[in-house]
Amino acid sequence: MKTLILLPTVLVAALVPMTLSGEHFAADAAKLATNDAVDTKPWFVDTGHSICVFACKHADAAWFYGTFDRVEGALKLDPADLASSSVSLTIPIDSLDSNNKDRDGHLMSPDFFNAKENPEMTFNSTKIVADGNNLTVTGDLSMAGVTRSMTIPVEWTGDGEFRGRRRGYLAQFSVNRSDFDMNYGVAKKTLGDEVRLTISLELIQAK
Amino acid sequence: MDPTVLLKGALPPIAAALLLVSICGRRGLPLAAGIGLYLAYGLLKDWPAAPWSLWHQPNGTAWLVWGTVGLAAVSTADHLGLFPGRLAPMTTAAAGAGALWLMLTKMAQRWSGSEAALHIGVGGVSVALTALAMRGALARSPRSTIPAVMTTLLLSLDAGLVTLGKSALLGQLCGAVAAAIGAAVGTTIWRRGFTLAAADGAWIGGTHALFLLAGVHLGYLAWAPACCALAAPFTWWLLQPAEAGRSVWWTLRTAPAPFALMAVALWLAMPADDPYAY
Repeated sequence: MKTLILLPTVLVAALVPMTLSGEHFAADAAKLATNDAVDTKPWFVDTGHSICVFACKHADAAWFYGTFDRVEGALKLDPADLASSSVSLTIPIDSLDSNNKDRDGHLMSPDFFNAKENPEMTFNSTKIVADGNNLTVTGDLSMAGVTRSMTIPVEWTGDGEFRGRRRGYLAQFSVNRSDFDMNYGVAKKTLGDEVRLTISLELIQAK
Repeated sequence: MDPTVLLKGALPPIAAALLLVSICGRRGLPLAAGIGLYLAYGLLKDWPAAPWSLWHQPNGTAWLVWGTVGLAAVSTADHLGLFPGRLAPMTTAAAGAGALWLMLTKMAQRWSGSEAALHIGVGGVSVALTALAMRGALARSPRSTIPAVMTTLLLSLDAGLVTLGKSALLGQLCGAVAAAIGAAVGTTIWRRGFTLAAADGAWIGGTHALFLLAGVHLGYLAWAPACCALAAPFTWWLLQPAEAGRSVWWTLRTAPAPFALMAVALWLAMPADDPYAY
């Protein structure tokens, strides 16, 4: 008799946690599904944690570095539909800092960026290819009033949480400034033609 | 500065001026300056897009070049007597104001209505009046090479000013126009003495004002030195004697005021340290 009473009790006791754990798995699955849904929400550049660093060879001797302290923009990434995904970045030229105010002024003049007429550098994607979490982004880079198509490898640097979902990307590539009609100092190699750009982006997902 | 770059800016206007002034006389100078400036821009930067392309994708420096070429074309037409009556000064004024409007088209897209009205309106009137003042000044100048030497010096100082305004490109382009007049003066060696006509005032005065305003708007030349320099042709026009008379007396009476203003402008624009020493 005792066995008859205990057996269902044991079965119930065993099944309840299993059921609960099943609910947990279902909840996890639902959460994942929700996360997938969240992934299609746009990401915006956290300007406080993003930067564009440039390097250019001076006097054909050493690389000098400068920064564009402000990078703005957004990423719309749908892994299931990369054709509808897009990246747009805007870098205000007046955020340029080469550690020398005279040089900053010259870099913003018509000899280089012509910043009064072209106050922003922009990049707008036309095609995104994903390789795992890394991306290869093709798009139009515009500066100094000239637009050139470029393909840029973009490395995923991590996902995290801090007052919202965050994701990091790092893009490292080179441009020839003469392609953008910035010829000052190229002939005599006072300033190199090649400019190496490193763009570190911290993106925060829209809620 | 790289001598090759200097030559790219200076050789085309010098060659054009030597050739055209030798062949066509002083009537060839405005055209030579326009062609020389166009070639210098092409060699230093990039060939400027055609005006109909620039209309859709404006570029202030390219419009500056085309504006100066336009003023040179007006002066050439004036030289050839194509403008009846008072049409020449009116066309000069319209061409100067129009050149400034085109130069500022792209920047005006980001200005408020009042800012655009101020910069384009006042700026356009300034260019037009400067062109007319220089036209008037050259009409009463002695028939000698001195006014041509003075305008060469004036535009050379303009080139220095806009270079101090952080743009070596604008400086070189303005220097290219000065080089054209200088080369025309040089033809005196194998031709008769080179003199400027009233018609030349349009493009020389217009170029002077356009480059100074380009230095302010496109470059980083401050308003105070720019305004000081802008006033220089007016003092030339106002202070020169009513009759040209003897060249020495005319020069002593006319030259000090505009060049004093240019000296003050340079002093105001001069930074404490070498602005390119980095």
